[in-house]
Amino acid sequence: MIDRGLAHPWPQEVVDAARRFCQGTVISVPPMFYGRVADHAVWRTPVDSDVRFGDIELVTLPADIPYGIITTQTCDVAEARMPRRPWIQVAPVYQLTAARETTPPDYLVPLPGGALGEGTWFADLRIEIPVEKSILVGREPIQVFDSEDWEIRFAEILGRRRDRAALHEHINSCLYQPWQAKVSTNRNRARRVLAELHAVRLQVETGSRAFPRSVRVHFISEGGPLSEDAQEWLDQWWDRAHQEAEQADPALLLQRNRIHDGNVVDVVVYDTLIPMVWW
Amino acid sequence: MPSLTPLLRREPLGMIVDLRYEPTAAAGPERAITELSGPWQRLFGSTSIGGSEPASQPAVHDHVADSAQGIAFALATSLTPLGLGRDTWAKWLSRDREGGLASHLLGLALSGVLGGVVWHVRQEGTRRGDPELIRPLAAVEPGPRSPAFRAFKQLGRWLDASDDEVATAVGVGRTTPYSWERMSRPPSPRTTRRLHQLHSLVAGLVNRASAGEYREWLYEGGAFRRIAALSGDLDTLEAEAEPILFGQPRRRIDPGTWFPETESPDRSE
Repeated sequence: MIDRGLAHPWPQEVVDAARRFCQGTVISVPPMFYGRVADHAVWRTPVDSDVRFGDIELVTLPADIPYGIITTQTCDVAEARMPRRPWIQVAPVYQLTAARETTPPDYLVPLPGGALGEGTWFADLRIEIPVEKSILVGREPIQVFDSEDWEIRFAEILGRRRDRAALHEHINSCLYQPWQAKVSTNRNRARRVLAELHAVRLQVETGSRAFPRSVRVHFISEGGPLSEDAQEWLDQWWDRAHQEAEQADPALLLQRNRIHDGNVVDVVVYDTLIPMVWW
Repeated sequence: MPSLTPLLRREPLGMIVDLRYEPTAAAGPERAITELSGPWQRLFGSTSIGGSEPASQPAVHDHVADSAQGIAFALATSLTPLGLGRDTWAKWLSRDREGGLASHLLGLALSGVLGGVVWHVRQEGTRRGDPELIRPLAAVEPGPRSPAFRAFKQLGRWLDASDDEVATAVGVGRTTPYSWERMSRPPSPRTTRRLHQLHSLVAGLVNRASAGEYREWLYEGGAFRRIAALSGDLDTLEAEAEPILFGQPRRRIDPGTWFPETESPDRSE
């Protein structure tokens, strides 16, 4: 249906321009707009909007957002074969007005400075504006990432925002909070235990992520068996987590820890587990 | 107008409340409440509490699961974990939902049903020689049991095992669990861990499978799974339970995976 509107062939200047951009490329003065219903507006900065679709009005973000960063995957921006993807997504890039002491929220991605000017610049991933590739004609790509490592990291952040596991709050309150409490009780011992771990992964009874019933935490060692001290530490965590789970919801059954030797882990099982970060 | 309140304040309810350590309660109130059949659902408005999963059928319920007694039992054991005390439950049931007569009829019907439940439980207790089930109703003291003792007794029922057998499985003496209950003192950390690890696993199976499937699974192949459970061999039991508890592993595509582009279905247009 949508393909019916595609030009055949595309204007050559658009094809050529698109091939100069990739994911993570910054463009200057991007168009920043979105739709809202004014009566129930959440973002209340006054705007002057004339464009309406029924009760939805088109709102432009303040003009002082100087840059936008392309979040569309590189192959979809610079299509090597017959182009079929006319649009790309762009997220706003700006400097924070007040100095930020604490760790920024997960939707603000700090960008390496240099190309954009002094100060710390952030990509704000809460909104991505759809624009046609035709806007790239006549614009200069600004490369903020000076290494492939940065590009990969940015792609991972973008991917993770949509791919991260949606789990019930009990996973946080019954499993993770006792873990944090145990870590802070004896940080040195916790550090020794964590040094032995390569990954922590979660197994949830099929079909019950939203309301988990049986769950099991898998611990994968860095290689070789875990020390007895580490195993006991993990078992003590299980004791506490099990108690929390029992009190929070009798239907939530925390199964016994499963410990894997990182040298001989079953990759089929490993692939099916939910990775847990920051454990 | 007659209501259920007087009946529900008698000891028989104490018995029922006391029996909420049955697997139905462990499975969670949502699942148990879905046991109610059509007319009962309409009467009690269970849709506001109901879940989507079928209730597990604990061993002791097998005899009554399909009967009205089973329904009442499920209701009683379901509401207690929801935080509804005896009085609340009684008050809730005595609400005049159908204009007096319905409430009266309901009172009569449920009186009979509850009596039947108690009778069935005692019969089952006699058959199994379980003093917990057959001691005089008046002697049953409602109130929470120790979590460890509750888990211990549940394991006995789920594994069709005596106190002695379950005690051996978790590495304690036969009467030790009764001291947990009498003295409200938890077992040692190691025993607690062993007990709850076994309990979580078996509870997961009981919740996941129907009563028939579970029992078939437990006794299949010379009952080696039951034997593993009662000998404390969690490794074997876990390996056997894994496909039931967690299903067949599904391949995931990791973030950052490369895959070839697909053709547009509209490309020919």
